[in-house]
Amino acid sequence: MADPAVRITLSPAPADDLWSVDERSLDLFAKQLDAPPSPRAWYELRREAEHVALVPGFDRLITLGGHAIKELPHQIDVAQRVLRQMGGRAILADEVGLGKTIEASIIYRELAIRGLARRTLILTPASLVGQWQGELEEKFFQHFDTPTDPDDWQRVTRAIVSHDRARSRRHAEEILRHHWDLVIVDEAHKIKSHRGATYQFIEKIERDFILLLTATPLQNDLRELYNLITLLRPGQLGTWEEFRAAHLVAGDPRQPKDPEALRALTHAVMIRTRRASVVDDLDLPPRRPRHPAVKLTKAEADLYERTTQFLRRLYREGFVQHEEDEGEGEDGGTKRRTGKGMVQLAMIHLRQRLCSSAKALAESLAHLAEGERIKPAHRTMARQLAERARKVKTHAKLNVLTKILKETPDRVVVFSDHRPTIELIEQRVKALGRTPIVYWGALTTAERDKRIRAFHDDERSVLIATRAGSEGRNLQICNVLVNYDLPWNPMVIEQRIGRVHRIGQKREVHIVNLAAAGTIESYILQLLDKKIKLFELVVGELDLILGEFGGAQKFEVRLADEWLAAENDADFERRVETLGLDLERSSAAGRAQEQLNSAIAPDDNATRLERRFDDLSVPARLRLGLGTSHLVKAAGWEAKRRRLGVHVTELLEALESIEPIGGAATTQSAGSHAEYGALVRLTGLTSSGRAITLVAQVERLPLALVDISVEAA
Amino acid sequence: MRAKKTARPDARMWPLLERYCKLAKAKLIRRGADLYEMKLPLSERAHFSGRATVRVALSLEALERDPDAEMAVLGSPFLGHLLEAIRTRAGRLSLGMMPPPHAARRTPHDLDLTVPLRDATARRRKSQLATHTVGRLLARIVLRAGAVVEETVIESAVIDLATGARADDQVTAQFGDLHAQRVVPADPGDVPDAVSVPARPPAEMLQLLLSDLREQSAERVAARQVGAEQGVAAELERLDRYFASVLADKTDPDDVRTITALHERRRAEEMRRHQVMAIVHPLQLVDAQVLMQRVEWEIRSKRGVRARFAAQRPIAGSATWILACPQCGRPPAELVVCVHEVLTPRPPLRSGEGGQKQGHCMCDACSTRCSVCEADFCSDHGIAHCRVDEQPACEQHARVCQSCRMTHCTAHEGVCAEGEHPACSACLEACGSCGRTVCNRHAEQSRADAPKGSRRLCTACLRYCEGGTNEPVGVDEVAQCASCGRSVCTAHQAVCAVDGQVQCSRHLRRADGSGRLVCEQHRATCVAEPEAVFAADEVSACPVCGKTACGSHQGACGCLAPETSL
Repeated sequence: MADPAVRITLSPAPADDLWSVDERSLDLFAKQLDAPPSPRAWYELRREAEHVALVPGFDRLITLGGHAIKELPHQIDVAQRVLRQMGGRAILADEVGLGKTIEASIIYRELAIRGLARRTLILTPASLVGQWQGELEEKFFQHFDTPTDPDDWQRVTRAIVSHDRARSRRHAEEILRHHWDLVIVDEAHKIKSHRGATYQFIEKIERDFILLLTATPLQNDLRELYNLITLLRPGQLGTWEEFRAAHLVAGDPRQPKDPEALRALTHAVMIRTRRASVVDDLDLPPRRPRHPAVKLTKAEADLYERTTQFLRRLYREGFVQHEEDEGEGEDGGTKRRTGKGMVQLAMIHLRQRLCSSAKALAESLAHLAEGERIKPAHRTMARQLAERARKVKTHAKLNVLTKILKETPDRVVVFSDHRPTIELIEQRVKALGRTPIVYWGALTTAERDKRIRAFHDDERSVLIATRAGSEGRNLQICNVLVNYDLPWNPMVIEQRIGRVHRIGQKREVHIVNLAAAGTIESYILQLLDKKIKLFELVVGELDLILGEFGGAQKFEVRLADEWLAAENDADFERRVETLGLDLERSSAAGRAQEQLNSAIAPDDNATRLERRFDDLSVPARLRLGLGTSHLVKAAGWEAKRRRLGVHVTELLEALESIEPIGGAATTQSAGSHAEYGALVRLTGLTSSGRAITLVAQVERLPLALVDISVEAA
Repeated sequence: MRAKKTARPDARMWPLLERYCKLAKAKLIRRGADLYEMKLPLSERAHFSGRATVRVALSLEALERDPDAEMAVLGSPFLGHLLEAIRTRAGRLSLGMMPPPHAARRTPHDLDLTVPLRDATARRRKSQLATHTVGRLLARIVLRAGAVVEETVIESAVIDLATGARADDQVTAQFGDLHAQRVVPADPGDVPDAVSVPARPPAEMLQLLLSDLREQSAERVAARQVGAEQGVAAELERLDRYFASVLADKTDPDDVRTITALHERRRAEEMRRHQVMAIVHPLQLVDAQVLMQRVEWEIRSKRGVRARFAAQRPIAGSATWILACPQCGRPPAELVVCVHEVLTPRPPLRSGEGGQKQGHCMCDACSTRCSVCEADFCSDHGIAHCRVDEQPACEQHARVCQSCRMTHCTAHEGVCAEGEHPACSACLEACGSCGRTVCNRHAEQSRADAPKGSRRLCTACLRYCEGGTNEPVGVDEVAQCASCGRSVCTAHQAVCAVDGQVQCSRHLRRADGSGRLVCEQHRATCVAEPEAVFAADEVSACPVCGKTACGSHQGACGCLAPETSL
């Protein structure tokens, strides 16, 4: 039909014409016009494929099915509100741990699939660059580059870069040369000063959509909040003078004159979900910690004592540097490790293995004795200690574990970070006639999958896992977890618990901590249990408690320093006491900060529901309540929803289809429930045309969902 | 190949995948619930990054079991590959010939052209049976405004691809029947002999189909535009109010410049965000042949240009004759002949007729009258707006300005004194120094703080001052540096204190003792202070060794004995 040499060139449209023809599609179309007509079967397949490929508006989120995560209702709700009501510009200010990264990633995916985020820039502190890259890759299957050379910006369209690197002269020039569709700024409170270089740099970036992520938009001064909102949407709060006159209390820069008036202004640009509002909806069973007594054998106690003295001696003689000295260099790169640093690494290893098992300790001591970077006298001592450790044949912890395994016929997960210890446990589990499944980082992905499947298939099996097992794997099929050794970093313990104590876990989770009396582990356990209250925490609280302290990593470093610097056990006890007080202060400061930010942030769904309950229609009540602690689900409801294949977004769509929030709708009575009382039935349509019927109690809080049914499209 | 029933994120994926594999002869092997291995034939691998096998998960549960599989959901790379593989096919489907009725109509011999002609006469040329191609375009329309995107797949009306006219209801219905396979196409042996009138060139054909799609979507687009305009007005009002308040108390020019730039950046962002855009992706064309009765006329304009015009009616359709503008395909209220002829007739009615000059006609709506020669022309042979007076001009009187690259008419053209090239009158202006008329490309504006104020300067009169920040100044405002010959304007000039010659900043420095400006040539040193700079007239040379010394250090070279010195 067309001359094969001729490319279709349409006459140019006037500059103000809003219509255009996509060049790529046009070229493909021209080629196909020139080719012989297609068979009808291909024609029909293509026609169907074009309908499948259609992207709807933001009234429907379409990428949720393609992520490797189960988004929580509040996260979906946040993404919808940012895209539909805030035009893709918002401060995501959820309280710590509620998934701001996931919310931002969902928003990015929804914009990207519609061609609205072809160029995306993520700015984050240097320490989080790798974490962002990993999460986007693993959870959202999106590859982002992390440019290190300014020339990289010529080709990069999706990038994660640290605040510091981005604002450095050569990188900044390249970044500012381009237009960015979406800019995400993580830990946005770090750029709170409008005079700061990073703030001014971000102000200069040309962008269509911007997300600022921070749990504390207000830390010390309302000016910080003003700056962030002005960066996002200039004029939203007026000029600084106008804002100061209207909202600041003289003498207290943190307190707004009228929090309600301020909330009305922040409502258009800020979303904050409170932990208290959603935590009940997560429906997590309680954690039951147990700390069985572990008394070291005489040989073990002697070995512990001697090794402690040895490590402290090395520390005093300057062989152990502060861990933070070895940390990140500029721009997140790791500093070159010195000879002293190598010894220090060996020390850390030794310290971590001290309470794991004599076998693990023997291996590390022998390794140290072979090193050339310590004095001959120290090498001799290390060799002697290794010899002593090898002679230990009775392991107190192993005996306690044996008892636990005998009492627990069901699946058990045992965590230890040390391979020799894992081998010991493996032998003991075998001896008990149960199947040990060892899971560590050296396994290939396929082998890991195979072992997890084996754990699922054998209900008497024991999974013995290292830190690799505590990352990314869901083990809620099991409800007994044993911390054979206690990592010094509380976040690592929290991650271990999180594998088992997560959404979908229906049984109480038993956390058994094996800490031998009189050892450093007993002190760690005391701090975790009494000061941090790790075993009672709800989602995200660990970050909150340790925020002021400097984070979980800082806790580990400080603890190690105090232990090594202690003259004796009494001295160490005093130091632990001080550490505990600092943790309490950090916790109190974190909570105060959180309250302050919640006071100025707009209401979340739970609060709106509570305040406006009487004015809301039935679908609106359920729509707001979904995913919050104000809505309970009757036994079996959640399982039925999953069985019917109803996604949370479909529930939201169906409720919205009845009428938008704030309107009025009639409902049908559906009898009464013994526990919840009078019920109503209401039916809504999803965007794919499925009719979802809900039976619910809607007269008082908490609302209750009692039944769900679906009619096919 | 049957999949186990589980909750899949997108139920449409499985049928799509299954049908593709069947047609492309790819093997689909089940590896578990919702998990498949697709083995691709050689010809298909290019669409899947050269891979021979691809593992596909249709649900998250399947992906958890096999993390190396690819998820088949909207937006996933796998679906992207699959769509690409499918999209390389089936851009066109031919339905064949619409079955003609058993008793064909006879072509009347007395049909007259009833459409009025503008400054032209018509002569009937011939009547015949002809086959035309009619077609329907499937396209995806992406409508964007701010953070709103809406995508739809829509079909155009059935259009006669030779004339551009919309097919009547009967032909459209027959086309539908043929498409839905409710009727079978006619056997070529059953169709009477007829001349084949080819479809228009692809670009024209597509324009016709696209304009139909635009009409269909006009209401939706207009609604979006109203919403976008309201949205942007509110945003711009907020920005303008805010930046005006911020600027109100700023006096430092640097602050004002920074804030103004930020204001402009945010404004531009808002306007771009709210701009409504409709992007058309042409996807598939379905065509069929239809038997027509065709009558053709030759139209001759008063200027002697000849064009052809035809009326046609489908044998199988209604009895109404279709008269369509050869440009837009709409029924013409008046026919106009374009003043410009083309070498290849448009469209060629018969082979062997190419290569001679042939005119063409169009409807009154598609014609424009040249503001220079007052001849009528079509949109392909002239410009709708001269950039100077916004008036139309035919091809003969339209030009592209070499300075601004915009189009203008010959009535608004002049010549630039630099290079003697033509340019539009909007780009031409006299040089503020020599008075010659030059275009914008060959001129530069000096700044208000130049010695003679802001002026337009032609290339010959333009200099860059080396004394300031390299700003443009006129040749009549500068002097040459006596050391390097560079230009220095009178505002930035300085002279050497020794000889009074003009120097640029690079060649002057202050003498350390007196603070006078001296050029390189007139700098001197003192034997007692070798690091210090003096003017040449501030030192004197020792009569014995020739070394120079300043007034305070006369005799410091030690050549003159104390007793002989005074």
